[in-house]
Amino acid sequence: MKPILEIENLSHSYDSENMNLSDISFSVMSGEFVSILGPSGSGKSTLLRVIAGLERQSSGTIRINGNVVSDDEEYFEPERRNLGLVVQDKSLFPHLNVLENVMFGIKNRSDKNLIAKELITLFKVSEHESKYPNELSGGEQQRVALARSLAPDPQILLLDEPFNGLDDTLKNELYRETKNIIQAKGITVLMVSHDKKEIEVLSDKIIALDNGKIKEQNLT
Amino acid sequence: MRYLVKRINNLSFWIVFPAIVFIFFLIPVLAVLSSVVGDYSDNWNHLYNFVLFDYIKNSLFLVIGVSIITLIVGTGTAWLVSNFNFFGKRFFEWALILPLSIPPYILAYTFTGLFDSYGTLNNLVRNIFELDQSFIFFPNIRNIFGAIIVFSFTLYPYVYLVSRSAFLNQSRTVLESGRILGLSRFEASFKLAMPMIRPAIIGGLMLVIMETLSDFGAVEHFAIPTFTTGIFRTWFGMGDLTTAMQLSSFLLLFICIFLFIENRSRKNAEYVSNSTTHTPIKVEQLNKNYSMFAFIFCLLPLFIGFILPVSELIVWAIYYNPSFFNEAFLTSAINTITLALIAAILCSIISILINFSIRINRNSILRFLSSFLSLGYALPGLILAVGIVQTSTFIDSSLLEKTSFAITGSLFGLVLAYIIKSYALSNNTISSGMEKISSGIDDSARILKSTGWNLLGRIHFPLLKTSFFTSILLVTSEVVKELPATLILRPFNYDTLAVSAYIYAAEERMRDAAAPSIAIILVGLIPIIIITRMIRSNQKY
Repeated sequence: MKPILEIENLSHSYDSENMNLSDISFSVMSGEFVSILGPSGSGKSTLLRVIAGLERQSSGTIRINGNVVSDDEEYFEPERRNLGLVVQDKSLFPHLNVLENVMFGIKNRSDKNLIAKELITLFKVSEHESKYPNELSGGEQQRVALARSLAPDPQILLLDEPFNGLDDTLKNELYRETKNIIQAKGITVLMVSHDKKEIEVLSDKIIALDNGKIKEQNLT
Repeated sequence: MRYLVKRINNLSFWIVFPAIVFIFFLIPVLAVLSSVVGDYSDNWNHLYNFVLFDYIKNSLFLVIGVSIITLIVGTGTAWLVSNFNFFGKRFFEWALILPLSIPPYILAYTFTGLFDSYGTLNNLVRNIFELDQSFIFFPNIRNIFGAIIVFSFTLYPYVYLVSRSAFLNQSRTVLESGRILGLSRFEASFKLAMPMIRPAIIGGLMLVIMETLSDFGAVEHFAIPTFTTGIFRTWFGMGDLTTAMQLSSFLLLFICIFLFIENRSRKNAEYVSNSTTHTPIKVEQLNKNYSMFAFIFCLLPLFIGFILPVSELIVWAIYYNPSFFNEAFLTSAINTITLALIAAILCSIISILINFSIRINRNSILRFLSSFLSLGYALPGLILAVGIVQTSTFIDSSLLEKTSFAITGSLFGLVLAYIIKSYALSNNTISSGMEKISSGIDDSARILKSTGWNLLGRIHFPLLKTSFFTSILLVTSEVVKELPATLILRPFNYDTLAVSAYIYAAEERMRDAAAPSIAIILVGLIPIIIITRMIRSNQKY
């Protein structure tokens, strides 16, 4: 099987003195659910932002589907990488309702309404489709964020502590539903979290990150 | 070379646009400053030998007088309404800002009508006490002392607003510590509170000084030789634009000094509200006598700066000028609103585009450019007009010589002047609105392939709608009041409300000036309402 995401000797720093990520290398196979586990400040979210193209690494190479999307010379902006991203604070667009949020990223498709409605149904928020984000609970907002990230049919879905701040019952319910939908759609996922239980439930492969360096990988 | 070509290819609209705006803002100022290194004519020698000293002396006298009164009135009223409960306090909290809606030149016209030898108040005194017609109770106001009164009671709200905000942000524990260490309530206020809010007060005071130095309408009406009247007379009386520009450079130097102090004070003022253990100050109830004193102290500036002139204008408009909505008034009102809206919409769009550029590029140079553009508020309208006329004349005689187009005397220069003067207002509103949009929203949108115009149109603009409309309202009210730039840059026979009021007042037709003046004040009330709402909404937290 060919890796869909390859990270080679990736380093990143915000300033000249401190290295946030140091010599990171790993790969993710198509359809895999890989998680990066690490404490706060270990560089997990930065790694995800670098892969998404929201930050540029100091050195190293990122390949998606065998194509270099970022190295010393090449740099693809986030919009050219065909990825999905869900972050902790959901970042739903407050002026758009649920349906409009989910439809936002679907481009050049006449059936975008249909695609969005299907995802909304899958994530069990169809009864809220005309509601605005401020009218939804935390769990409902997270479902909409997940639906929105999957709508443009990304190659890889990046999840940054997506279930943070939800109560345990809701988390367990969302783990199950998210995993089922992702497996059914055959999507590759790279998730970062500090919650060991969450990672164990969802992941095929775990990478442990500490202080910007990979401590262990291929844990399952 | 390859690196350079790559850099040029990477220049997007979002980098180029702020740079173009920067050039448009800079050219009029450079045009004025360029005169310093040019030839100095006989007119300059005449000014230098005979009147320049008077300009400096009068300007300094005005600045000192206005500073003392605004300091006492602005901080005094702010101290009372922030620290004490007394009869009328809730009303004064917002009403004390009202004089800000009256431009100094309108107060000057109204006071002339009120206090002239045969003005309303002297006539009233003579009629009530059945005195001889030659008896004059109120002294002549058309002198430098009258101008000090006019500026002080229209501009004190600048000091009031910053002082009040600083008083409210003070830590109660600091004042209480002073009391425990043996200071009385008043000693604690003067030895602890006042020094702590000093940078904020100086900031407000510098705004007052810059407005005083920039004014043209009031000093011209009172026939006081200052820099602005001197520039105007040199240009239009002597027909010497170069000397007028040299004089403008002199004034610009003064303004820059005060602008520098204002900027420094703003930075120093931050420590006032930095306390992490902030406890709001305790508001004390005043006894009956003190309450009466506080009421009168707050009523007086409101009465002089708003109630008295507005009442007089209303009386003139109703009793003496029945053709309130005559054709001339309607034409100038329509001209004013059209011009103000064009300038306000363009200025707000420019602010949004520049703030969006800064946000997506995270570029410190763009941030600096925006701060630089915000300094336009300090430029006197007259200097801007001088610079724009010089620039547009140059463009017409060189670049547009062979075409049938000319920008001199068109609305272009006037709208540019308005935009330069109002950018700071618009920028503050838009940038604070943009700060409220989480960066996560941008990240999500970019991942969903929304960038550039798409990101601005689908995400940022809808979220900035309120800020955008607030900016339009604020700039509109500012533009409606602007006199010197309008007077000089307007197309031939294109009257606005400010120009109509000026022309009527110059012809001593004070009562005819009532209608345009009232209209200007009504539009000027818009920012007051917005500021009051903002203050009230902040008080909820």
